[in-house]
Amino acid sequence: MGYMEKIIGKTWTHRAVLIAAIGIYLGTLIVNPAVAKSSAETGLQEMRKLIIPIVTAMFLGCIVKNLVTPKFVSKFFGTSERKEVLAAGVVGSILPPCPYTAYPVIKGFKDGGMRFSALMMMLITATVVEVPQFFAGIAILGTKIEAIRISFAFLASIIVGYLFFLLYTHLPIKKSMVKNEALVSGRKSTR
Amino acid sequence: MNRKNLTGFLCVAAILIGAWLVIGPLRGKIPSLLGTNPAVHVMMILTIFLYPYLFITKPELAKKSARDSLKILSDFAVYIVAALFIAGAVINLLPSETIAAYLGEKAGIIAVLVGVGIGCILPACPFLSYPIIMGVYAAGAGLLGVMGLLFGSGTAFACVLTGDITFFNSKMMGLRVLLTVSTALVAGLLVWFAGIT
Repeated sequence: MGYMEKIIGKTWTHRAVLIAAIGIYLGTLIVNPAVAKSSAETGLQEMRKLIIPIVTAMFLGCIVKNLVTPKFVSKFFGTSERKEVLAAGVVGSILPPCPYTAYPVIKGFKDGGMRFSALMMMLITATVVEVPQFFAGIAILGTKIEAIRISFAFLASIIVGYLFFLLYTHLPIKKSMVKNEALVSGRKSTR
Repeated sequence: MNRKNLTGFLCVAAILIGAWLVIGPLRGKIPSLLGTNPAVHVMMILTIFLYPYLFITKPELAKKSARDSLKILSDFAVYIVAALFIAGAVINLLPSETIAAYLGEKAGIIAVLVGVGIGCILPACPFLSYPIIMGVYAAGAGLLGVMGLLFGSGTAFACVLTGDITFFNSKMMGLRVLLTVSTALVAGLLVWFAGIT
């Protein structure tokens, strides 16, 4: 990533945050300069309060990410479909929040023969639970909120994931809705 | 006792003593620049001693972790600053009555629905979305609204949707969004039923 890309963003999703910040401040500056000034002051206060905890969270998060790999965790689970769904949930929850980092790992599991219900469970926990966000959560929002977030998100993922597993395994959804192979193998099978 | 064990023993001892100090005698005396939450201080102590330990015992892993952290830091620094300024604006701009009405303690189930709805379009990266959520919390949102925002955050953000299409396909994207938004709503409802405030 070059210096210009670092500043203006590599993708539009990154730029959206910058554009939103600039837009909000320009708009407020025109409409009510006093509020814009107090907003900037609050922003600077937040930065002063949070920047060191955020950097610490990044360094600690990277150690945990490199120590606790999906392969390491999946060793502890069996091979029945029910257990595979649970293992997929646990593995998905420790994947990084960025989809472009997590999805290649999930696709690797899928290409390795993971069942469809387990794949969906992994996608759910990778999007909603996101244990690697733990340190960022503690640094920015506090221990209580982060503990509630992870425990309830995991519980809800298990409920929704297993409901999907039951629907997919025991009800006509399997035949009528999914057309499993076409859906799972994505572009390859649509050719 | 070999070198690795001795290093491990000393690091664990240092982490335990440091954690005891920041939770006990030094609590409330640490400069606000280092955060105000004792859990964050424990996290800092853990980081300070874990890196030297790994540099001695698993140097490659330590180097990779340090490199990854610096890369994230350099790639995201500008956006983190932007997100913190958005948080500052949210605190000052959003009327506390509106936030209280839709995301406040008394909003109940509405707070979950509105929180998940807004959370869906927030960035997936916690370093960008969490400061904004923190801003909404500081502006008057209740725990239920904040949990809705957190559970929903990133589920339908543009880069997650493009990730779905890039690595899978549009049908998978639709199914994933449906299941993750449902999960976020179920999680919010569970917090509501549990009566946590």
